[in-house]
Amino acid sequence: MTHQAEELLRIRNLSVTFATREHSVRAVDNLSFDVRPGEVVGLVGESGCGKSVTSLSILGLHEQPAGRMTGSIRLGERELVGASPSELRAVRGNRVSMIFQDPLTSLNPYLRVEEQLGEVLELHLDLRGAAARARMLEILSQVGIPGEERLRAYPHQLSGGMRQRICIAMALLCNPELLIADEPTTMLDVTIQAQILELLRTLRKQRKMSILFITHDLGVVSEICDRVIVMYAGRIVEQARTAELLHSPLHPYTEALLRSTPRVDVPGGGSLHPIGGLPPRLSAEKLEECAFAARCPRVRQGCRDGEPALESAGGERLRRCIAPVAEMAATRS
Amino acid sequence: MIEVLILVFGIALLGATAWCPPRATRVLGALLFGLSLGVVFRFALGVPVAIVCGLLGSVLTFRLFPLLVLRRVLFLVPALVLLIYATTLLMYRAPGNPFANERATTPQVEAALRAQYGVPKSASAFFGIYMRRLLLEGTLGPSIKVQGRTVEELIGPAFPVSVALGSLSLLLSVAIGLGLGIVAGLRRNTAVDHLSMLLALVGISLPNFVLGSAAMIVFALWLRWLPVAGWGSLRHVLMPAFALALPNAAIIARLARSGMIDVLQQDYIRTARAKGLPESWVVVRHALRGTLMPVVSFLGPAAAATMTGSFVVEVLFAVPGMGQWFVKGAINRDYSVVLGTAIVYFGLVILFNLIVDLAYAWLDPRLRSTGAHD
Amino acid sequence: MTRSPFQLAMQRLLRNRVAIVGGMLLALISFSCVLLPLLLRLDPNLTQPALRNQPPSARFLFGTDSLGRDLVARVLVGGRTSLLVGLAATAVSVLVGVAYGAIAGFYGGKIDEAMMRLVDFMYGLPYMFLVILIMLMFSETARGDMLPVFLALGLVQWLTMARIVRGQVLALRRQEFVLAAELLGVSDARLLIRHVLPNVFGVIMVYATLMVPSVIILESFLSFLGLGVALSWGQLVSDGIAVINPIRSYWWILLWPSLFLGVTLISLNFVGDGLRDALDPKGRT
Repeated sequence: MTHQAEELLRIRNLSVTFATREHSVRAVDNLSFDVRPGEVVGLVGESGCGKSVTSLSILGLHEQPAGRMTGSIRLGERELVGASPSELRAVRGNRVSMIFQDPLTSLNPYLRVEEQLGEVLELHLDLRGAAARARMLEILSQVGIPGEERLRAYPHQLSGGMRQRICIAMALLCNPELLIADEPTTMLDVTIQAQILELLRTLRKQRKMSILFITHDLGVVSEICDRVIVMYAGRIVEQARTAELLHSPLHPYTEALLRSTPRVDVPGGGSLHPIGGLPPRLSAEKLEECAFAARCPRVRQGCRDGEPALESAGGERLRRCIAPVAEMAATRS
Repeated sequence: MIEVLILVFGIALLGATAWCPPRATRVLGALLFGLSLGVVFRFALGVPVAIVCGLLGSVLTFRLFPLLVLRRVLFLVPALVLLIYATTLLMYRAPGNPFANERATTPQVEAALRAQYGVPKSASAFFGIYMRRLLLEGTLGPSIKVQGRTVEELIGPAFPVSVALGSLSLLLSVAIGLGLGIVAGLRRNTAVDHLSMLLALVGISLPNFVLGSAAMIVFALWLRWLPVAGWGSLRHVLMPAFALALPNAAIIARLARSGMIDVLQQDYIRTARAKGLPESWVVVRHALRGTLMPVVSFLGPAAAATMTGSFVVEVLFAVPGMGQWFVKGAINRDYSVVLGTAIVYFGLVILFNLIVDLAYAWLDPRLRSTGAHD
Repeated sequence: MTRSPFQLAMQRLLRNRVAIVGGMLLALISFSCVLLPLLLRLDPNLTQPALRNQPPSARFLFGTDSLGRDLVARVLVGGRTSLLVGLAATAVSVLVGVAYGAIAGFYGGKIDEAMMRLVDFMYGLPYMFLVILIMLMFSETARGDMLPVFLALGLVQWLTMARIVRGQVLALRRQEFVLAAELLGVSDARLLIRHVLPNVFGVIMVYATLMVPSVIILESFLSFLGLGVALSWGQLVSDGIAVINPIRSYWWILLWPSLFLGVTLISLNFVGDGLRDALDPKGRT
């Protein structure tokens, strides 16, 4: 589908299994996708669908006891699955950076901003003292926080939006090729959310940096992502360019997600359409049926015969559903 | 009866300091600190130096100390006074008095003795005389039972001994406890962890004199590496200090371990790893601070526990500390000696708690702002 | 099949082998101390000077002390005192601490702040000081009377309980089921006693179990200093230490009470830790 040389990040057949006392949980099942240079890819799904686990897998950041990873995650020419800890550390914060959901708890409350930024510079770029300060100030002004006073501040002295900007600044210090953003706007209120998204858009353009944007909010997806991957139960169920996905979804789950978004343009807000039921338990065994079958409004006979394969739906589009495309276009809600 | 009421009123007043507005707290707290400093310095350095130090102390603390600490000072200084009052009440309430055991004491002789030593029949009156003597004359008063000596002269030599033993033991507790606990927390659920926690459990479960006597038997009687008891050289200090330190070390080890485990689960540790920091940086630069917090908060009670334990350890190892004076004074109903030792012990504890508060505020920048919460 | 939180906790506890072992040891020791002296007609005070300082033998399993008294009898009867003091003083701590902490946590705000300020302060006091004073003062008139001991020791530990209970009550106070009851017009006292406290019960049990060893140790301190009121393990250890000398070693006089003391305390800690893990495996309290 895509040319070998073009991808920045190439994930193939990634499976992540966690073993608990009672049973194994396969959080991610045979996942494959790419991120191209300068592209913003959205990873969308409910809580527990495996999107966060996927993002943590890239840098090997799972909490101990760590999950067992099989498959391949290739950054350029370097293979990250099974890489040694020192190899991973060379990549982290340097070629690939990550920002997280809660900027308050993501920053060390006991250290000043300059100390937290400084250690990245010291570690990866061997910058200290005045040179390091200069770089910090430069980055801070790029994320919209001019001024030296902020450097000496502690995280609790800053507002939520500022803290997230600091986290973004910290991620950008070494000019990474890929930024992984795990729900970076979920804990911010809407106006700040817009500012952060605007900032990320600007930075992406300036630096030609790729972003892997994890979220459950399709509104955010429409604002920033070039391409969207929808995950359910640890698998990809649909992949498309953003506009195509939002306009003409080709998987019942995507449809349901779109439908469940509260509408501002409908008088009275319209009624809410939650997706009934619960996500399935993710065991390590092969699925006997489509993972979404229990909750799918378009479910039919063939759905329970075995898991549908992920197939191309024209161009870059992928879908994992046996319902005919024509039928979905016709009965679009 | 009325004295109990005074006590209750005093306690209520102490509690009421919670309602004191910030400005007033700062001023009063600083003043009280300076006053206490002056009283203490007066003992060693005389009146003029004491006054200067007191004023200096007031000004410095007013400007430098966080509000949190000044609030504590506002509470602690009156609390010390109240404690001394409570101790006085306790002593007076008990059967017997300093003069009852003397040979032929007629009422007139007793009255004369009471006047001479300043020990009236009422506890509150005694308290008044005592405090006035302390503040204005800078003395802990004459010992009632040991002729011709003041309390300072009696407990003076014992004071550095107890302080040395206590400080060394606290230092050991922290060193051993932190070392064991941090390693256990980092190597969770491994053999090292289980072994450390087992040791900690044993340390908590055995009274210090049992551990001490075991050490005595092993190191002094069998191996003959250390002297059995007594005081005078570093080798004399080792066993008592360790015996005193071990129970606290055990508790600190457990606190440090659970602190480390908690901290390692925090988001900012994940961020640190996501930045590519080597594990040593993650632990030392990021995890350590958070781990120290529960340990530091325990240091206040640890100091108190060390003092408590010191009575027993001093007896076991025949260390000439203040404990013996307290016990002798209590048995002989030598009110001045008892109060003198009480003031020193309580004063040390309070001082230590203040230092711990300062350390806590220094460690956690969130507590430093003027609108600090408790 | 869903289980109540209590049943789940019990399950976890029973899976904890260390705690089970501790519990069994405790039961064994308690049983021995309480019943064996009665059953075997043991007399801890029978002095037989001719048989003094005998090492353990078939007749005297633990040996005899410097007055020829049977150490088995002394250790077992002494255990009664130590265990009784532990339980009674802990009961005092629990009562006072729960009452104090519940009120502070329930009413919150400035009342809570003032009450906890007091607790924080008292936390840092060298208790032995006041306990010794009390014991010294009352020991002459009250020899054999244990009540001052229970009170004095109990008053040392209540602080921890107060803090714990206050924390729990404070958290529970905001829970919806309490607010709901409040809206229905339930009185404060009833709210506290019937709605909030039952949920704190588990935590109280955990910390009560963990407090008993501290109290026993404190009592042993007092006995060691000669301030004890009745025969206890602390006093026996003190006896054992008194005969330590480089020439002849009467190790058994020191060993048996130390062993019993140590095993009891360790077992109590095992059980207490086990209860705590069972109640709250993630260590959130």
